Amino acid sequence: MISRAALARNAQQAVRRSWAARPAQQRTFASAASSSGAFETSDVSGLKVASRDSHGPTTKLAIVAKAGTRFQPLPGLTVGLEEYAFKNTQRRTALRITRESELLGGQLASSHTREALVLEASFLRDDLPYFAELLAEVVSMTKYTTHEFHEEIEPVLRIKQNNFYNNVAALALDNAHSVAFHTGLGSSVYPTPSTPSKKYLNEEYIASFADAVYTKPSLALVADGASSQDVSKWVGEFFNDVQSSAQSGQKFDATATKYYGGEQRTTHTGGNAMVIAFPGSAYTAPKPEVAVLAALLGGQSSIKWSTGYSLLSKATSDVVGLNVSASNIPYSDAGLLAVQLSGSAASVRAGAEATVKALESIANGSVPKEEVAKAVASAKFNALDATQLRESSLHLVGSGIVNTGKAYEPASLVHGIEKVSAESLKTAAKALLEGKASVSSVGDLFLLPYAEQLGLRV
Amino acid sequence: MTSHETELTEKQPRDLPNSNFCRNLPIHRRDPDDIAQHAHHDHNRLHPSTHEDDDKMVSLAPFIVKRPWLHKLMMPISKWYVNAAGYRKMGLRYDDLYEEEREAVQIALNRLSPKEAYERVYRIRRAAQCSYQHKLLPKNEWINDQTDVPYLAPIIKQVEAELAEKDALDAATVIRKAH
Repeated sequence: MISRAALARNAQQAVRRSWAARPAQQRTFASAASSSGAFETSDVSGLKVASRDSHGPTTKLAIVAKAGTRFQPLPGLTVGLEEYAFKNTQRRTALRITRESELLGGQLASSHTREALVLEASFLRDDLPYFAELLAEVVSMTKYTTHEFHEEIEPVLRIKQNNFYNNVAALALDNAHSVAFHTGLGSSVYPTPSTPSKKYLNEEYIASFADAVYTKPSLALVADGASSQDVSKWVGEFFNDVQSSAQSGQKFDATATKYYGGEQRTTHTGGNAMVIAFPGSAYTAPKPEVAVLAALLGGQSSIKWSTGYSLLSKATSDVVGLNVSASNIPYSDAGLLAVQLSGSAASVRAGAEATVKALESIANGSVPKEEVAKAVASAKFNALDATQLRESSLHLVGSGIVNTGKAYEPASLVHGIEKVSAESLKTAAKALLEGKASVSSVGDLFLLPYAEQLGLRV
Repeated sequence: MTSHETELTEKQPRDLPNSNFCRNLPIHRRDPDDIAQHAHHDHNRLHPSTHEDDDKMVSLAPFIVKRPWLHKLMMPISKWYVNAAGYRKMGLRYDDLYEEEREAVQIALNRLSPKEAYERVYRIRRAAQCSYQHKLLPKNEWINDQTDVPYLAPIIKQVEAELAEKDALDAATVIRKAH
């Protein structure tokens, strides 16, 4: 038997220990909180570097290049360049890069958006020099060999193309971009299997694209979880080989984006999806009304066991198997306020009708004030949360730097959002409904409605 | 705090491209016995009978090439030997003679450009035809020093280096220096 006294003594000790431990814990929390969430930007011999130190044990280092599908001179070059990341360089082979990174517990990834190509490495804090060197090497010394293109890149590309083509929601969003912006931002984010890629995509074109875009002015290096001194020290050491302008003298600058609008309908057997989109808000000139509108339309509940306050999730709560979400997709000089719907053809149709009704109700001013207040709070949270999360903040800061020269700051957007009233929402929604929409439907076109039937102008 | 210093030991020494990382993680060659064992295992892949395996085969070529006077002396003999071998008279290049039944050569053949691959097949078929007919090509179609270009050997060498690196990395052992 354990005596009660012994138990009491243990309990006392435990309490004392926890009290003793508390000040130490508080100190660590305090020091973590003392670093602000904003990125510090600096210029290291012509290369723009942004870093943020959260004093965590891991670091994420990313190169954001102004080389998204918007800037590619030929279709598929961005994707090709993305696939060539971490392949053979003049110093070591792709296999060696992989094995060495594995040995250090690092993770390498490359991805692209419409505006940016992102090469990123996540690793333990101490390994910063190794991965800084690796990223510099990838950018300045990749060999772009023919055999890798045929043996490793082409097969992967084909699989990814099929994957993209079979994802109806992604296809619908891609089509919506193309009707909204035509060229530039409208060019397909991933070449479909029916894109004539043989003509445009080969290792020589990719190498010359790399020569033009992997230059100091169109790159940004973003580090999350590393001190700015360390980052600038290692960047200064390793990024000297990155050229400051293209050897060939080529430059791929985008023309300013123009919004067109229209409708595109594609038959597909793999599912049903619709995107109803309107001109949205760019992150250089944020329109707070659009952010609030996106939050008010919503679609996805952010609270458990409830449909949430958002208009779309309430309106479609009884539509079975429908996935709907409204969001503003921002780019440097344009944006797209898109409502994405997917599910069975009948439910997508019902969802599309509900979307237009919800927009009309906002334009009528029949939305209660409390809902607007909720949407304002939610939009504010979303705007701030995006700058705090590691993944999205790296993208935002990097694209901000390469496209506008300075890191993205949510402050002006947040101030704007706070001032949004039911009245300003009403005028914004009215303007959207009177302007041209971009509607794309993919799937069973017998059931999916035309924009005209929904009451939208295209 | 434990340091992350690690040591990469490879069983098979090769001229691997060096990088800063390698400086941090020194690659040590193991004792010769170990290497010999590994080389034996590698025997199937790196066929010793071909001339590009200079490191495997005992060859006088590097010794001769290093000495210009000796090189000059040997050149006529080498020219005579190549012509006496007769493959040029059947319209073949030296690189057409590699045996294809090796992984490295198979990969290398796939890496030829379509034009080179076509011309290689053409030369081989022409030589086979010559062989059936017990004839040599007319003298103006013979391959000479200028046209006997090594188009395949560099690729084979590159593929073999890749395969060797893969083996070396597969056999690498990591020694963590704790504390």
